[in-house]
Amino acid sequence: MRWNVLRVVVTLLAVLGLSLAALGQARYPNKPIVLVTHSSPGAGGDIFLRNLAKYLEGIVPVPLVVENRPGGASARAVAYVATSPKDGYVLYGATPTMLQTPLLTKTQYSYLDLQPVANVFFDPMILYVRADSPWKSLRDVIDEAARRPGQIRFGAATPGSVEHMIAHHVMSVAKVKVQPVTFEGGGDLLVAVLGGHVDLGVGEYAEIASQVQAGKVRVLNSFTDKRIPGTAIPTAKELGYPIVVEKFRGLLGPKGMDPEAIAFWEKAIQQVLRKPAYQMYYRSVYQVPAYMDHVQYKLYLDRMNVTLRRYLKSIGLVE
Amino acid sequence: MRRADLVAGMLLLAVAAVYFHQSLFIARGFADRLGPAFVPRLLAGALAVLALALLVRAVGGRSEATPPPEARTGLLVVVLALLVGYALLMPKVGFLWATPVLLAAVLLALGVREPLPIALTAVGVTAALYGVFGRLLGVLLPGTPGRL
Amino acid sequence: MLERFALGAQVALHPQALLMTLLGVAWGILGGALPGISGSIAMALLLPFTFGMDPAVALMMLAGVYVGAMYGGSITAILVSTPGTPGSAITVVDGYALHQKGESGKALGVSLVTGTVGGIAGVAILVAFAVPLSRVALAFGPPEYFAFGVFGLALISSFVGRDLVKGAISAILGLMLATVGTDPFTGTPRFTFGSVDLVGGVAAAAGMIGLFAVSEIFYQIAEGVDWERIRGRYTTKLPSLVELWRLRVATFIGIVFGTIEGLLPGGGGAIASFIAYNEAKRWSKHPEEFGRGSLEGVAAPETANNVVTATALIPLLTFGIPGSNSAAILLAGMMLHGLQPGPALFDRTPHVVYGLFVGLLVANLFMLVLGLLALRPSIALVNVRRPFLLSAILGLVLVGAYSINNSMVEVWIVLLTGVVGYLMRRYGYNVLAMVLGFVLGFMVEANLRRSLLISLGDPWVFFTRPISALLLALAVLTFAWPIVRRVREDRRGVPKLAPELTHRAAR
Repeated sequence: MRWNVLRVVVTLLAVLGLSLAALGQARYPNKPIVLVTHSSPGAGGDIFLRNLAKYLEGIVPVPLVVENRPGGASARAVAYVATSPKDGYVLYGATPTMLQTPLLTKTQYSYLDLQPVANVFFDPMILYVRADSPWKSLRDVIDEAARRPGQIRFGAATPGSVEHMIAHHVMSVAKVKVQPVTFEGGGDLLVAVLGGHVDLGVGEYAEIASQVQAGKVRVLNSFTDKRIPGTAIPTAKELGYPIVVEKFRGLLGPKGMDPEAIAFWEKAIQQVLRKPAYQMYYRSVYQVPAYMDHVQYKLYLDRMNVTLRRYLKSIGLVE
Repeated sequence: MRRADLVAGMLLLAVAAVYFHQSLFIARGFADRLGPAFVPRLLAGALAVLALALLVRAVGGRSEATPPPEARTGLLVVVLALLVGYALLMPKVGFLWATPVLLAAVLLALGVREPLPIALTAVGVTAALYGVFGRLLGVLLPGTPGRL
Repeated sequence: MLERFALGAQVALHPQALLMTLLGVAWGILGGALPGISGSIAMALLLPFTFGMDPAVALMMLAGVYVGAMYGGSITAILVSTPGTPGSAITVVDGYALHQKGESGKALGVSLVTGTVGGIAGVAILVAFAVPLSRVALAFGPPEYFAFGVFGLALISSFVGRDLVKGAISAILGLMLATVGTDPFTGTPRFTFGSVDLVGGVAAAAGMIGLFAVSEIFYQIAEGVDWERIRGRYTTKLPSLVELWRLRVATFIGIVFGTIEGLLPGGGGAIASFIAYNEAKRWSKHPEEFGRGSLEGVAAPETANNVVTATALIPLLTFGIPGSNSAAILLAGMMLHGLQPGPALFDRTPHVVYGLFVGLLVANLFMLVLGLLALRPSIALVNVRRPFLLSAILGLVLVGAYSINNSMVEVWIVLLTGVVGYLMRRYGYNVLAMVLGFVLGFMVEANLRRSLLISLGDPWVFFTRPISALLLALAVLTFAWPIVRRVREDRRGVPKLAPELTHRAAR
């Protein structure tokens, strides 16, 4: 009798254990997840994902592995993710580069072959001048541009980038002409502004924040929707110029990705953005949390894509 | 060297022509004054002029007198074919299978005939490369598990 | 100042900090020595491990990698003709020539000792003149960068020897190679033949592996030297103190140009080491040895490279602008730990800044010790029968090329440029001139175009700005000087050296 009870208990336990294991198998996630970036190790996109992975520890119960697939200006990374299994174990850490490249070159895959999962951050863009510049606000710049059309040297990154797009938005919104000057990176541009080789620059706030604190450059305004948290920098919108352009950073998976995995990540991103240690970090580098769920993100990317295409057309880079 | 210069001159002229032709397809853009095709066209022109100079010199018989030394071109072609085959097949069959075969084949082509040193080199070098690049540095070599 | 140093020393000489710096240097030597893995990649791979460390220790470890990678890169440049960065491309010429003469230990030893001297001198310059030198960086606008690049290109006339036509063709082929890929100035793809794989352009490392290393392997296979006879002739004999003392002028020149190289964030890069080499040749008592295995030809660029490890920190710490790829990773490391580079950094976190300075000194000493330890084993590795060496190097460079982007594209580029480089060597063209054009091409073009934007279309901008005008004048002199000298020698009937004597890499 006793023996039988024991057998029943053991059997029950075994069944329970098996079904628990089976349940564990079914639940997403149950194996390491790969986060793909088109950046080289140490570059912006790479650091974003590695930090995200670090602070997601404890929220995502499986290891997160960052894989660098540089080359082809994001085309290789997009192709890799687009052709990955749809079970949600390969995700792409996206930036606007993902939209630009297919517009400028013929690529096999574009963001339309990906499933937006969630947006995480906006990197705020700002307009800045050297501290001894007479300009105090975007309005001064525009007045001067109206007086001397095409003479103001407006430093920005490569055409096709969001920085360069801002220069063009300023021209079309204020109906003035400036001379956009291309630089390969935000750092190079900052040196050119500090050295007086260009009159003003547009860039990420994080790149120039320390020069602002040191009093070497002055920020005129941001191109964000709301003021950058923790600063008193006015937005272009407040000044009457509705120019809002952001560098987004978010996650996408292959098209047709498992809805359960999407839901899991939407929750995980919201949780990690609330984690105090992560908040302390992302505030220190002036990244603005900008969570969007997969529906909002899809709409946002579609809109951004149209804006980018229209702008590339206006500067003659696409037909 | 004279014949070589003649051939090279023709070839470089062709390169300049193709390069110039390709530069016609570069989108102009309004972003800068010179545009993305300006420097390439300058280069194509300069190459064409220099190639002509080479040709004139060769026809006029003023090329350098020293002929290039004898070369084992056949052997080089064999090794090159092995490398091209490797580049084509490695992504399909995987790094760990293709590399020892390539190394052994190159050794055979270069005239090594001792089986044991060939096998040891092929396997040893592959293992060392996989260990350092694949495991330690996390390079995603085809057909191997990446670093976790 | 002194008390800040004491504070820095306290941080940097802590046993844990010493251990991490040592590990960093060792990792850097390994990473720098592997083709395709640059110092910046080796640093980036360590970044995640520094998350939990004290920021000062983390930066010291990364700086250790940075310093170690410089020497690591010269190991492969000297022993297998593969420079790790454009900055050590010129080291290949005399370093590899010395190695072929069997004087491998001397070449490595010179690189190691002058590198250490350069590294320490760089730290001294960094500490003493950071602020005034940072103003030099600001004085360099697009016209000055353009003129500097032209100065670099003008060096081809002294590198190519007698056949100026073929030398110029080589340089133009290099410039053409540099135009492949997205034009970062307008974003338009150029010469990609519709392939997405070429949108990113030809990676500098891939071009150099192909043109230097692969073409050298092809050359050895095809022009078959008697392999059995030269077995085991690479010696580990180090340079003597007398020999080192003779390098003082070349080392000093390396320090001067290395300082400049580190200061110019917008892509001075390789130019300074090329100029340092050329100047060392001009001031040398034995300029005829250059290209055939001159110790000074190794000392000048290797000193310059290591000075850069310190002086690149000047724009980094004062403006937050990295002067090199590796400095960019260091910046990433600072940001990860919530440190904002800029003038305030020195006051707010002196223990980090001065810890880093002392750490750099320590790292240079570790490099000397580890480099001496690694010298014999690395020469032993190449002291095998030639067919085995060639096939192993082939394996190494193929994996190295693959690892640049985790992709086969670079493998194909390396094979193609290898064939081109082989044909060039065989028919008297100049691989070095092609590399020079390749690594400077984009910088010269971009700054030409950018200058015309900031001058609002006025082409005189290059001559009305003093620094730019001066650099352009120097470029003309540098270009003309070797030609004038050659013509004069011809008139005087100085006997020509047989072309076989000139080193292949320099041909």
